[in-house]
Amino acid sequence: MSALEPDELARLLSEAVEPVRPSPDAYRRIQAGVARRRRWRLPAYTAGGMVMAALIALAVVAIRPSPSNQVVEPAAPPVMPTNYTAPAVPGTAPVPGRSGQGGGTAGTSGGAGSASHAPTTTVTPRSSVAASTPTTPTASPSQPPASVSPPPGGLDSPQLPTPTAKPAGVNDIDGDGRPDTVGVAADGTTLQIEFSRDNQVAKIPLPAISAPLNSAVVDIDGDGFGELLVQTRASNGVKSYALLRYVSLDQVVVMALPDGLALSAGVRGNVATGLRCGDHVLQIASGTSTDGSQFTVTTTTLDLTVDGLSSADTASSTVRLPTDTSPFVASCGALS
Amino acid sequence: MTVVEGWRPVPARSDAARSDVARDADAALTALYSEHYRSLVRLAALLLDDVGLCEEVVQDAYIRVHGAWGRLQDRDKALAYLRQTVVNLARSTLRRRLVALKHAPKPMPDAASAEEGAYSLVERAAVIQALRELPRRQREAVVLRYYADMSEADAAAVMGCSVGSVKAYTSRGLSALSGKLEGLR
Repeated sequence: MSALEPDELARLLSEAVEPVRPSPDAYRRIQAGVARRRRWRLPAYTAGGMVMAALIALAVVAIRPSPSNQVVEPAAPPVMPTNYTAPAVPGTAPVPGRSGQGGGTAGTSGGAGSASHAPTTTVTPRSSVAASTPTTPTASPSQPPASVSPPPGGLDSPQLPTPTAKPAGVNDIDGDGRPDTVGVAADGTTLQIEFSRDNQVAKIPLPAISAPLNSAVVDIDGDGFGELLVQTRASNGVKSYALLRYVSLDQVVVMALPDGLALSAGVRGNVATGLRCGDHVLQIASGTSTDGSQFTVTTTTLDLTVDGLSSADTASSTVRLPTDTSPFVASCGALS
Repeated sequence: MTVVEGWRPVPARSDAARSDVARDADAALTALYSEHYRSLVRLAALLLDDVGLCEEVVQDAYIRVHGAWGRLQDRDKALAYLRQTVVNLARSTLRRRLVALKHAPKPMPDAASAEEGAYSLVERAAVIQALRELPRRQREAVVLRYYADMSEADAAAVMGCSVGSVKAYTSRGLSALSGKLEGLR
């Protein structure tokens, strides 16, 4: 095989494309293309600039860290502010209520054995037997559970756990959905509540506690934490009660009533009282009689709100005993 | 990257300068068309397989050169730039049509004139066919060296490779074509 000479290859290539003839309108097509290119140059450049600007903006947005990527410390559970104030024992420090505010006005309610004192809860572990005194209030349990973080207001601000159900279940004071245990200490005047939430025991000194213990847990305000009604004493046919409320973790306080009202039920001569738990209200009936049979009844409706007990309404009626249904009983949950 | 000497970005011009450049570009376009259009179409015809497509490639190259005329520093090398644009566009076209070329190769539609004999037709078809069977680089090197009559350096500049590579491609292509066209000589 002889190699192809360059000159011969050039000749062959030239001859091969020699028949190729340009189209007659080629120049017109080129000029049209040039005009088209001129016409589209400005819009194309504008569109290109806009696309570039959009890409740069997208890149900036993509690169810039979004606020959602920042680490945010979880906030503490909200504290339900209340203005409830517990009556203070002279010489004692303010008792924190649900609002975290110290006890302000000294509330007293007439009637012996009524809830006229607001002793402070002293919570100790079950193994602890540390005595508590009303004069040394302790607002927080001695061993707070590790799962509870300090509230935003500080360590002194009480906080309520989140209830599992509203209203609270049977005998559920701390809102965990399980019944809590109420008992009396050996001294006979200290109420002990063992919370099922953390097995802490709260000790509440009361003026007296009837034996055997007569109590009921009723979620009057439907906030998921049951209120505890405890019979403190019985004298001459009149039973006196104390109403306790769960104000913060492992802490309960005795609620004060407005002046002139007492939690008692029964008839003694021409004077009679009674109480009834309603929907978010507590009704206290006070009756007077001249003959011991026909009573003029003044029913005071107390609203149980986060702020405490407040007088909402007063109504008068007449009841003749024993023919009419007596309002002078304690009709509240298991109490009757 | 293929680089043509004298092709550099230049500073922006004023409106009056732009008008002058546009007039120059129009005049240069006309001159380049008159002198080189036919040869460039034939060059493209050796690189591609469709005369219509060759014309489109060459016309597109002219339009691009016209658009870039203001940025062309050395106007004397406009032909080199035009030729390189034709080669690059032919490459792009071939790349797009690679599958079609492999599976349905069509012979070069040679619009033969009436005075050409049957033997010439066979010879042309054989040369085109043999050229088309070469690898792209070898085909480009052979066409640029022996049809466009370019030096090895110019061919290397257009192809975007070294002179040594052009020599190798040309040698291999020439050898392959010798074998394929043996019967015609």
